[in-house]
Amino acid sequence: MLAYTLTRLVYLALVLAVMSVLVFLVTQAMPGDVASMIAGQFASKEVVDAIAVKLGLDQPLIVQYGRWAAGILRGDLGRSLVLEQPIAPILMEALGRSLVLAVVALAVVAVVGIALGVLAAVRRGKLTDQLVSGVSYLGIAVPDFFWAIVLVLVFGSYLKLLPTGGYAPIADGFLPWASHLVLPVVTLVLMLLARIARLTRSSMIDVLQTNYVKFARAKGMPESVVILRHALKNALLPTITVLAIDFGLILGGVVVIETIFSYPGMGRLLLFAIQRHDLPLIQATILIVSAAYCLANLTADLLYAFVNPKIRHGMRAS
Amino acid sequence: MMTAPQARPAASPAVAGASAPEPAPLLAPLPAPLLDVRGLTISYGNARGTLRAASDVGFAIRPGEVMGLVGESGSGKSTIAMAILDLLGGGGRVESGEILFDGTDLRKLPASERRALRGDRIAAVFQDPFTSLNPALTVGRQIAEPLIRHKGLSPRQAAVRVEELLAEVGIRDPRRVAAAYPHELSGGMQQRALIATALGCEPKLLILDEPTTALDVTVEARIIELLAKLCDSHKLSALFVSHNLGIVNRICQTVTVLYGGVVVETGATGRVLSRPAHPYSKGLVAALPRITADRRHRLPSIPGTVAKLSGPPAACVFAPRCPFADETCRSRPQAMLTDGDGDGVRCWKADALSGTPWPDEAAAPPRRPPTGTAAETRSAPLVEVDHLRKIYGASRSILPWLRRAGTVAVEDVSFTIGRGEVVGVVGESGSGKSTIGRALLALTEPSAGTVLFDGADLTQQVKRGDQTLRRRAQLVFQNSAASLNPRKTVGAAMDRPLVLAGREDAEERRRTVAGLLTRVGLPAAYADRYPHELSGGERQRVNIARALATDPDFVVCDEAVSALDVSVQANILNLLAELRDEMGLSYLFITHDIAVVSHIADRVLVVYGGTICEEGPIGRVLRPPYHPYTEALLSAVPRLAEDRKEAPRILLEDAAAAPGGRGCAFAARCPRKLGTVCDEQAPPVHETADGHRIACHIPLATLAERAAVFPELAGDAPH
Amino acid sequence: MTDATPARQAPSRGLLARLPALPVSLVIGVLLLAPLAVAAVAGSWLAPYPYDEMNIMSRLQPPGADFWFGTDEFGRDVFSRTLVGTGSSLVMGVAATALSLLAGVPLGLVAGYKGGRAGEAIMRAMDVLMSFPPILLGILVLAVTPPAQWKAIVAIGIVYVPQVVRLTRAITLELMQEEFITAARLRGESAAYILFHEILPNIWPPLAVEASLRVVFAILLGASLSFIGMGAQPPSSDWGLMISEARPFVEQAPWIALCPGFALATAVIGINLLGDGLRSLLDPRNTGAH
Repeated sequence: MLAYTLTRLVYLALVLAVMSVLVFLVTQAMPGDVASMIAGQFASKEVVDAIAVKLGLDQPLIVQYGRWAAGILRGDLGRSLVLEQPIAPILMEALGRSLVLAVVALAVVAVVGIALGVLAAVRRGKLTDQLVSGVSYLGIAVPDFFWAIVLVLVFGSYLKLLPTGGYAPIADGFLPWASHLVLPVVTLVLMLLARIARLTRSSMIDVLQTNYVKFARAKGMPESVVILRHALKNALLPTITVLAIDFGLILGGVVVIETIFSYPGMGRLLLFAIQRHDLPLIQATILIVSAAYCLANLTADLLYAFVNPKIRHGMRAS
Repeated sequence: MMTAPQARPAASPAVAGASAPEPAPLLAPLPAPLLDVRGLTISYGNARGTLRAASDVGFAIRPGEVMGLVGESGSGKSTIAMAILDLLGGGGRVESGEILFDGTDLRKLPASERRALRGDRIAAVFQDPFTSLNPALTVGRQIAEPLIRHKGLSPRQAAVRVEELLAEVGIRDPRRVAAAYPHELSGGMQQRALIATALGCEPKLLILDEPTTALDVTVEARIIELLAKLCDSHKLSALFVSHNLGIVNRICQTVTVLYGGVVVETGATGRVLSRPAHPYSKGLVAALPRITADRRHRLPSIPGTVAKLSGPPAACVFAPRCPFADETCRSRPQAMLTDGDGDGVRCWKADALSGTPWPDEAAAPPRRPPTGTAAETRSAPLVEVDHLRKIYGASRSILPWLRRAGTVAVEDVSFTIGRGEVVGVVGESGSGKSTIGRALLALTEPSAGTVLFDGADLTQQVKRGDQTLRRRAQLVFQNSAASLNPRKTVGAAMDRPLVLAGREDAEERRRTVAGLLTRVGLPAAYADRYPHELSGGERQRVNIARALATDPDFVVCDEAVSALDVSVQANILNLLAELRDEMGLSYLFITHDIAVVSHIADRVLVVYGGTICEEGPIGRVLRPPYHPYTEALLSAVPRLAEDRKEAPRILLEDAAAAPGGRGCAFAARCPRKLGTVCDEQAPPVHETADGHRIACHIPLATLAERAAVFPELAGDAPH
Repeated sequence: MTDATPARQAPSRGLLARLPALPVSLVIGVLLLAPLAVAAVAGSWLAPYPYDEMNIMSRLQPPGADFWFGTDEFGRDVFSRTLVGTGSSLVMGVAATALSLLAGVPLGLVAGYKGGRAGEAIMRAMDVLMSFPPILLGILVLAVTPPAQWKAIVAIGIVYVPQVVRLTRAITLELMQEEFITAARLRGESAAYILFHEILPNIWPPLAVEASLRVVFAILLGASLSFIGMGAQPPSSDWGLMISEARPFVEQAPWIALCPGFALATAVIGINLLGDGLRSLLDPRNTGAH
């Protein structure tokens, strides 16, 4: 297990390094030149060049990358051109808010999705099964932003039950904070529920046909024990992996969701940065979101290894 | 460790043949059966039709009695076991009948009461220990579950009892095993854990569904001894489902033979196996390869394929394959004829046939010895294997904790195969026998050493892209289904080798394919069929035909008959023997079944842990002096003879082989280990005669002192 | 447990003989998709109005006899726009999926069949691509140059390449263990023959199922990209773009969003059912093979 963790950590570092190069190169290729943006529309060429020299933009790409990467390692993500302030504090605040959204949504998806999946598997072919499939189909049938619009329309505009956008810090009290989360979370959950429910259902059905489940029944174990103790533990293994992938979908999905619900997180920050061609901000946001995603994947793999005794007890992970 | 032989008293006295029934004992009536199955009919149904898995099945098991339920695949034996446990899955349904357990009809009980009986009064052990234990729970917890559930023990009390149970099934460090996860245990240990689970609540009836089929012979021998001992000491009754007549002979007092979901014969084990009354039983017993048989004979075989019913039988189920069948057999179903001793046979001709054996094909021409004399064979071998070594999974990573030395599969193996010679390779799982076969065919590259085929290095030729030599060496697989591309017709699969051989005329190729199919005993029209439209035996014939299409000199048969039912296995063995004689083929015959090898091989290699422990002509290897492993292997082979019911004289430990060490690979399990010399030094090779070699530290003279495992072979002159 | 194998029915040859046994989900899926396919091909002929015809006089009209599904803020007919937008929305999904298959299948085959350094390099590159959350990778690719629909298709295609590669490789590795591949090697087949004649025919059924689900994801991702202004560009009537443009008016005129939303849902459900149907149709257990 320790060797496995170490290997994964080394690997993560490598992936992040390659990723940072990619992000750097792609953003370099973007239209818009930092120096002329700083100098403003009407600056002369000399002024622009002077700013470029000052920022080191005349140096070879590799040197620029080195300086950028070194800054990141020190926790310095650079300065936003548009906001004209250091990126790190803005980004961390936005990331925190997005993570709250993502983690709450993921927790709801995991609990509800697994429960529905198990229910459908146990009642396979019966009405419950059909209902679960039907409901989960609805969730993935239209894009998340469509659900977002419908939810805003119903709960915000017509029923006036919930705020349709914005954010309230938890310092303002739990209820305002939570009420702002409800609609975005429900939207994210609708998008992801189907996959988790269907995956859990199919792996549960597979596990219920294994010999060890048959043997548990031959021991006279009641169905509740067979399902919860014998089957579920094994059926959850693939679900864990997909939940990690879903975490990435949520982190990506927040770009759209946050825009619709005017939620001040990473997604909105990124879109803002792209629209305003704020190169340092784009670089930093994409890198940090992707790093968070990688960490989520790593956590899932370690969790998988921990739940699976074959890996936990010293067997090779590949 | 040696276990004292357990002589099992037969519950019912040995009876004479069914033709001459003795008067039933009047004063001592037999005790009421513990399990009494009557008129059990089970079907499986889906959208595409129904299948009758069991038709009007009846049998009884008395207290303290072990009954064998035998049959080939598709006979319905496992289905019946599952029906008793109320665990029929996949659309299975009990149509009618009674399952009386201790006088109560289980079918009339509500599901909750049947569940309460399961694991408590009726316990089960299934075929595959590797999949019967939950990988996510510790072994101890899984054994404790029924104790807590049925006996109301606290988890702490249960843990104590678990260790007692593990000790009782012969596990030496119960505490460690209880805390282990299933994948940390060997197959034999896992099966012991399952048996401990079944015993936990002191059940009255055990349902044993092929409990040793997935295990190696030497492990199987130990598990059977354990089961026999436990049934005896706990006064257990058991239903023993098996396809293996030898195992049934060792543990069961009575036996019920199933064919196509119908009981065709029932009676005392000794009587049924030595004097079978039903033609199917006769065929089954006759077709079983025996070490004691004269290997120059063809094996008697049962033609045709296993019957499958979709409704009540309209005629004798076995009639289409029965050599004694006549119009009456084909026009009306058979009734069970019983006598006072509980013997029964479902054949109206049984009495008339009582003295008639299954037709023997002894008239077939005896097999010719390999072409040329033994001296010639040795001077120009077809295959030369020199110091072959194969290591899997070695890894040179930059991360120090990922570097691995790898697992040794084959450790320094050298042998030759002469032209027209059949060399058998016998060993258990992990012995490296399949790796040797793959290396000979250049399917895996040796880590060290060379393999020469007809004087050339096949691996190098294949690497250079030269495939001509390789086509002369072919393979027949174990799994007849997996070795044929499911999306290609039989004809298309056989056509490719001919195309590759440069045969351009399509019409001529078609004729060749038809000829090959006819040669292996299939209709030429099978060229248009898809693999899934054939039976297992037919697919294996196609595999052989395909291997022959390249006109090879040498064929590796890797467990080629292991997956087949006994009746089909005999057919395929006979076919392979014929082809060898007609086409002068050489075989490397890889198998775990030494009886099969004795029927077809000229010479045998006994392999253990990647090394050859003994090699020589089959007649020498089957007689003393033996390598200790060969001796254990031979004594573990279950036999049919009525008087050979005692336990094997050598029982091996469960420990796994540890190849790649300095000493003898067998040292860890060897019952005759001398001491540290076995662990630390490679054993010297003793040579007796005819190229018979034994690699062992024990002096040859000492090895020769052992009595023969098969005294009946003693008279024959060594080949 | 061959004991439980039901009696094999007479083998049916040809699709016609199997028709009655077609899975229900496949039939419903095809029925849902058929009108969409017609709209995709002939949308502009069928539409009652040109999709981009503005009419200031009839802005934000509710559904009625003249405008079946109302009009948008420029007075354009929502129904006509949705109809014409079918092509754009479906093409985005199908083309992107085709692209990812085109790039992913060969890479997966090489990684699975050859293994070694080449295979290792391919898989590590895929790992890096997969380390980006999907939509971010799309944005990263798209942010380089001014947005255009074909770029969105390429971006979505790239996003899904790693998953296609992984699946292809996994199936290839599994098949490589199959004995019929060993048999092909033994009779001296070339690597190309084994790849194209032995492996590929066994790969396409699971790939077809996967592709059908990929199309769904690609359509949704495409709609999302259009929604944030990085996919189809105005005045296109791509469904995602239409919903995006409808957002400010959703309280006054919800129909502008509902019509394309409904069309999107029909497409997604249809393709999902088609995929499910394909899965059970191509499952060897349902065709009698064991």
